[in-house]
Amino acid sequence: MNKSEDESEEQIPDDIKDLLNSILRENEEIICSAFGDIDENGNFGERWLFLTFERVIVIDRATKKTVEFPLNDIKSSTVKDYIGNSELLFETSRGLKSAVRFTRDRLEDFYNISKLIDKLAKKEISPKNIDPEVLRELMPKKNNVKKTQAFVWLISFLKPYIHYVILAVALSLSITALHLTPPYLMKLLLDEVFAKGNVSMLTFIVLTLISIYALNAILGAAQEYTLAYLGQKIIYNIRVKVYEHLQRLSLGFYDKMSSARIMTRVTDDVGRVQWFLTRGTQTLIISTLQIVGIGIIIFSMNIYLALFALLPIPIIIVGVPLFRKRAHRAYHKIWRRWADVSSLLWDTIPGIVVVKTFTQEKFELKRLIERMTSLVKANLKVTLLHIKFFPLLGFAISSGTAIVWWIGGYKVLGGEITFGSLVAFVSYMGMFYGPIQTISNIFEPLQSSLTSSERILEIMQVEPEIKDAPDAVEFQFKGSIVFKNVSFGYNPYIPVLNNINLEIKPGEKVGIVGPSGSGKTTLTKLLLRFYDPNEGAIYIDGVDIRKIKVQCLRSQVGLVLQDPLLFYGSIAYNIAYGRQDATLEEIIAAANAANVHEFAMSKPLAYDTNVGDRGWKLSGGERQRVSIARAIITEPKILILDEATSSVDTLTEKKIQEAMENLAKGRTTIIIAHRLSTLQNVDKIVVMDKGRIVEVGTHEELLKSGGLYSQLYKAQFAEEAAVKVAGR
Amino acid sequence: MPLIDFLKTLNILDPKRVKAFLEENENSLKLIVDGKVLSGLIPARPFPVTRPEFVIFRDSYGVDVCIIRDYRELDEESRKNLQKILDKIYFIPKILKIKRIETSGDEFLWEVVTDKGPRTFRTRGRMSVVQMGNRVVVTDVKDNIYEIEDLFKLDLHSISELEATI
Repeated sequence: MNKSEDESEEQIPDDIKDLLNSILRENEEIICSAFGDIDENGNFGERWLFLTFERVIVIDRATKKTVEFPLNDIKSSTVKDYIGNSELLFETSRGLKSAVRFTRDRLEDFYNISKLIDKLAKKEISPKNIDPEVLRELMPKKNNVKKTQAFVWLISFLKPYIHYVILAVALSLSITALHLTPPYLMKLLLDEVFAKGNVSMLTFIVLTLISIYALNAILGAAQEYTLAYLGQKIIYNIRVKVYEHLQRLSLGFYDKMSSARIMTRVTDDVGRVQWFLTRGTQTLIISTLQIVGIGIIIFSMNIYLALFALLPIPIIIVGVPLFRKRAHRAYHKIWRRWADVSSLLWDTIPGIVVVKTFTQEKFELKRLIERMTSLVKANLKVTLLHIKFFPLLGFAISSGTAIVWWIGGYKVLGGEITFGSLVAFVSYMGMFYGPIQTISNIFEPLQSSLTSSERILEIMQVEPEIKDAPDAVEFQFKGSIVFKNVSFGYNPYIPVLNNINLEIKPGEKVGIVGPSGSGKTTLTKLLLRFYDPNEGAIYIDGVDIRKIKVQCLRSQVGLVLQDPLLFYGSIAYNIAYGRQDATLEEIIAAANAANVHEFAMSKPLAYDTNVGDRGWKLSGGERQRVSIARAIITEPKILILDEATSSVDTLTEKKIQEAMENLAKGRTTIIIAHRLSTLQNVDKIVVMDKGRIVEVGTHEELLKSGGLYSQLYKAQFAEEAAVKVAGR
Repeated sequence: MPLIDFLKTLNILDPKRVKAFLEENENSLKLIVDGKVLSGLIPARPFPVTRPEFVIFRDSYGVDVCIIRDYRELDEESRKNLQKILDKIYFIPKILKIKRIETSGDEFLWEVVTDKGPRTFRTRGRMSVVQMGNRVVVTDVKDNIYEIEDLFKLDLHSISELEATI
């Protein structure tokens, strides 16, 4: 995500380029390059790796030392991942050689290059006809959003509402013009009415003044509404666009970016962008116009006085951003202190039982007092900052005014200017500093909203990894599944599944067991095509799933998770979620099959009962059963059951078990089992360990063979027996 | 097992072929379906808010016996008999007028007129007022249920009170 760094690192420095050119032979072309950030002595440094069709060249920028590895001498290439750093290693005729060391920042780049070098070394791809597509696939994908690009993207949202934008600007200009009139009227009042006794002028001035204020109120309301309308429309469009895009993105994206970060982008970042597009740009334009307008007025009234009026401006221009910077840090500190306090509350109020059990009430109170004290201090610091800055600023501005009174006063007494002119001048002067302060204030939020728009655009530019192939097909599944040489890792350099080969016949029930982290769940995620394997392929009824339409695939593969998620809405809504056109009878039938009916009917609103956000109003066992009903109603041909590990009572477990059996009848079923006792009725058991399949067979066969399964079984059996004895 | 197998077990009846009679205790019903007698049945609504016309008949042990998709299609007499028991089991007053809704702490205090008379109650939380199309279902803190059949058929004052709150 560190864009600026990436940008600088991608550019090969000139000295390295010169050196490289002197090393390269005639017609020797560079395929790709990478930058390692640890030097040969193990300190932070710069080492550049270049891959050509003949060799790998590594250059140390500081020492200019060059190391070469001819490609025909490299047997294989690997990246070894240590703690805080990694190393690119080549297996050569002289043994294992270290090429470059680098921190984890550079891991992805080197992993990809290593894979390419490895394929070249093993002659899997020929250097002569290297496919640029392959190269692009292997090279890290940079996702750079330029500020200008973000700006252009933002402005594109204004386009459909351009007439509103023009209206808003016109309204703002009129309001500004109205604001500039009263001081001039004041001048007329003093010079014409009071000095010359022109009574009819008094009536005119008063009437004009009243009309100006009335017009001001009307235009102000119109401007306020136009801006609000514009803002709401734009924010609506951006949010819909972003959400629509998010729905299209593959799970891989959600893995890389946490939900909280994504949600911040849809809520906070979009909010800041709205501010920029409406208030921000408006304020900027209007303030600039005000400064120019008032500047022209005061300079045309009296250049000499106007120069004095400029005196406090440097203080504003330098002081305001300085204050903002400090205040920002101080406010951030308050925010962190407040987070400390609230995290303590979130811990101890819901966890009051633990606090009381261990009689730590006094301890917790002491902790709270400490944190509250820090919070008070941080708050007072902000107040002090304000006290230091604003009176000083006010004093500077008032001094400027006082000087103008002083000098202007002499000019009035000397008859150079009228008293009315001086009063009008001072009024204009007062209006002059406002917009200057506003502009100095606005730059930072302007900057941050641009950053926000970059972050939103960054999401919008991510392309879904899982897409329908152009020749993808749709068909009714019979339910046979084949995994052929499947390897996969969420980070391609950390494999989770290694060369998986597995065949499942239509209607067969297969249990998958293994220690946690052995790749059981990942296997099912590949089957649903949440991810594509890095190597190998998965076939359903003989068709590679990458050639099946995603919608067709997922609608025929049902998934019941161990901790199922329901959505805000009624029980009926959640059951029908997988098939929005389900009839009421079908909902009840599915609920019957999943043992939901009984508990649903016991609630006052029955199937209309709202389950709450994420289903929190139901118990774990109830949620589980609703999710089974949700799967039953879609009538999947292939079913994946992730057995619940959460402790539910025996009766509930039996009901869930029954529901699952109802669901599994007549379908190809893969059960990810945590309790081995539930696997005695399956056709075959697949035992996984560290991403590999280590055993396949029936319960009896595997027990007899004495492998991992029998060990797991004995361990669990002993545990259950111990629990029983203890229970007695 | 295919869904259709479970559907077959539901025993869905054609209301045209069903006659419903109140049993002596007036708490249960007797259905005569094509001459066959089913007695001791208690009606229940699986979708009391969204599809109140859908009724399941259960025996005294709470086991489903049969289903009528729309009981309004029963003959006049049968419908009245069924309605009588349903009205007792489902006491969901219809809100006709909202006099005022006041906030107090995290609760709302409602003063309403219902088809069963005037009523004051409290609700708490976002889920206590659920809107489904034009229909609004209100559940108070004691789990009593009220219903607004059609939000836009209320008088203007009631609508503005409701809109200001939810």
